[in-house]
Amino acid sequence: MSGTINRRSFVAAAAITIAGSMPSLAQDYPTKPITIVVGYAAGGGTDVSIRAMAGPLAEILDERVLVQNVGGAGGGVAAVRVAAAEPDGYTLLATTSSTFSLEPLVQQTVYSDSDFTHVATVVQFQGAIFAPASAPFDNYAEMIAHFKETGRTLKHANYFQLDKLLMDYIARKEGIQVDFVPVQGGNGAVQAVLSESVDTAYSGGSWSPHTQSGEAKPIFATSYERLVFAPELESMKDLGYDIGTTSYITISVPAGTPEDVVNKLSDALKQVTVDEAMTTMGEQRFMEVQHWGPQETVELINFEIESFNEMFDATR
Amino acid sequence: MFEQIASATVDLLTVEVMGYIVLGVTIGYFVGAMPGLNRATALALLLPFTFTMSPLAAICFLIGINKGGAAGSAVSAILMNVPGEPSSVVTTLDGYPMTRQGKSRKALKLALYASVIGDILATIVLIMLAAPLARLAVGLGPIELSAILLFAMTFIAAVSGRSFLKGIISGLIGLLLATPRLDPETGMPRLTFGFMELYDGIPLLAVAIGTLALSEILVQIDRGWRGRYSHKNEFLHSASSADSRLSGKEFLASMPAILRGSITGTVIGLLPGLGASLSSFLAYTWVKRASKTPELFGKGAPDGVAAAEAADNASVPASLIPVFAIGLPGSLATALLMGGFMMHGLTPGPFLLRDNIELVYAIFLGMLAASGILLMVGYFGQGVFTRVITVRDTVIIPVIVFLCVIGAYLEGGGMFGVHLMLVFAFVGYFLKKFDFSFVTFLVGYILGPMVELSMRQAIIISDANPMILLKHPVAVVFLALAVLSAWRLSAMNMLPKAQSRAMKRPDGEAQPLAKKRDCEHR
Repeated sequence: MSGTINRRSFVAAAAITIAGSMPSLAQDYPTKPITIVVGYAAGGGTDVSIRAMAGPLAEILDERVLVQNVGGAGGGVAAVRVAAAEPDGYTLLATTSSTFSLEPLVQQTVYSDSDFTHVATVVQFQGAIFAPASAPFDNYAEMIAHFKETGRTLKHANYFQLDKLLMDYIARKEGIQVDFVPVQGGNGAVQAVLSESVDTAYSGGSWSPHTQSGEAKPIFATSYERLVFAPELESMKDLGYDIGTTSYITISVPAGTPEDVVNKLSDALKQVTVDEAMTTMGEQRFMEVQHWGPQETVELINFEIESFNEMFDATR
Repeated sequence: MFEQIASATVDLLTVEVMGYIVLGVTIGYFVGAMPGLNRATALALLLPFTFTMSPLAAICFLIGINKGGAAGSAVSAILMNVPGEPSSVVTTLDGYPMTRQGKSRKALKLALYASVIGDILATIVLIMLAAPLARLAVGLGPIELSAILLFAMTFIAAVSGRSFLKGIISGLIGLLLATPRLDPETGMPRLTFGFMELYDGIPLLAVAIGTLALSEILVQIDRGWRGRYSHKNEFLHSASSADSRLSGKEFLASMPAILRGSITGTVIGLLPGLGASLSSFLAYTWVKRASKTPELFGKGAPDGVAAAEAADNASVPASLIPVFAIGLPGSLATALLMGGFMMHGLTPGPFLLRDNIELVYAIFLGMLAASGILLMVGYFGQGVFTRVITVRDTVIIPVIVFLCVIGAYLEGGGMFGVHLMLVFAFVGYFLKKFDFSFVTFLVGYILGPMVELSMRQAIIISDANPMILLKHPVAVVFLALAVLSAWRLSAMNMLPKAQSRAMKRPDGEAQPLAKKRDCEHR
């Protein structure tokens, strides 16, 4: 048997040759420019982070990376667009995790979480509730006590569904009244707090410069675990809740994209996030730049979906 | 401090930084002059490119684009009755009539000088008074803002043109169009008819470009069909040299208007969320009311152009006051600029002055340099544009339409925005044909969402208890002013005597006054 080609080994050899000569997607990918569709307007937190990552990502993948802004509906307009794109890994969706976990719950979205394959999570926002410096409470317990004693309604500046659900949930659990004051975007919330027009507001991180300057003070973190950049703040877990909400920047592709393409993208993104320039930018913008892979991203989003569902049901 | 200023100057006067300032102002000016493109779009597109520049160069570049855009938008407003940006609508009111009188070059020069002066004055205010002013601005809550906005809305009566009733109607149409969006409180779509693109409201740019730019083209097409088309070159060629120059006396005569415009632009631009369109509109109205010849406004009064442009440009540095002092952007353009800051690792706010004082001084100096460069770029740009305008309309108008389509596409959510723009082109056409006021339409459309938001906020904060006004004296003052203004302005427009006085002077009357000044000068 040695040295001679018998049928079995011939078939084996032929199979290997054929398999090896078939185009392997992961090896070739990417062969043309990649477009990242950002679900928010240019200049915002999500946009600036993605643009900062686009350069290094293009280098690692050796292809151009184009960033497009399609804002509206909390990332929903962009989500619809990407869900309908070809699942070939050349159209990516960069948006906040709430687009998948929250928007379908509170709006009649035409897309759902199952229309996407999640590639990675690259940023965690440092969500917290903050109040004017002159507020008569410094932490969660004092806040609840204050409103219970005075019987006043808590006025919360609101622009995001996330914190609306959260504050509503907390209010019902604690037995206080809350009224929502609509504001325009994170900046509107900051302005409402600085002008002392509201009692509290939520922000994914832009609260930090104002608390540092003494104009405002953080009350508690809205995430389940403590925040990386603000470990002194009590988190939802500390306060006895089994849910938590903050927001992440997630990268996703249309469902049906080949797994090896997804993995290649995720690895490339991992290299980008460990880059020192990225971490420095993250620190400056008060965002935690990290990398969670496809599986972990799915878990993160599922946890958010559970949390939101629980809050939603409790507040109906 | 002086050594910091000195080293800031050294940082500034490098080829890279100065080169980018010139480039930024130039790009801004040309983008502003093109209908359909506006500076927010330019900022959004060019922001990523600044990544590779040094922080000082990048920020001065972006600020330069802003300044250039505010000044350049006057060019097409004056020459073609097509505002380069929504904030130059008011400039068209008197700018275009001046062109029809052959005074286009005069108008352009006046607009440029007014723009630069407004810009410099506001920049000086920014540099010297940023922190205290920002504190004041941010201290204004929804209750004060509602009062200020109500006061502003009464001014609609003043710019409603000949028919007060028509002015109100178009203002209300504008308000109506401001209703489709996500409801601020519930977050539920309202009157969006299933269009996700309308969740943030009907895109302003699509509406503005359609009603202002395209409708004007439709009007000209219409005139052409009826054989009444008057080629604009007639205006330009018949211009006497007196009409092309801006004499020293004329300039000084418009100085009060320029100063009023600058003050208005600075104050309104400073308040987050109100915007440049409102400031030019209020400046125009103020100057018109204070003028000895208010009936000339709308027919080619130089003061109208001067006030509008000074306010428009002053609001640019003023809108940066809250950014620098607190880190709070009040409009899309300033939010983009702030994004630029943060992209380069700078956090605007009180700490910026503490931690990066040399950079901040350098930026301030850069802003002043940009004002000077604006003057030069403007001069050069006007020369170019007045020559470009002499090209045949059959070439120019398709180019304008093309630019409008691009603008609507970029800002209006793709083809949806383009379709919207076309719809509004016809809306604008009919508004023009039936002599409904444009300005009031846009005012209703722009102010509507602001008034709704701040009033709803005020009601929620106060639990619908009017007693809260006792704690907000500023709001009470503005409400009183609003009542006063509404009474005075509507009385002015509705009394038969006032109306006939306004109607008596035909177009020609505007000329003798101007010529008189020229004779004296010679």
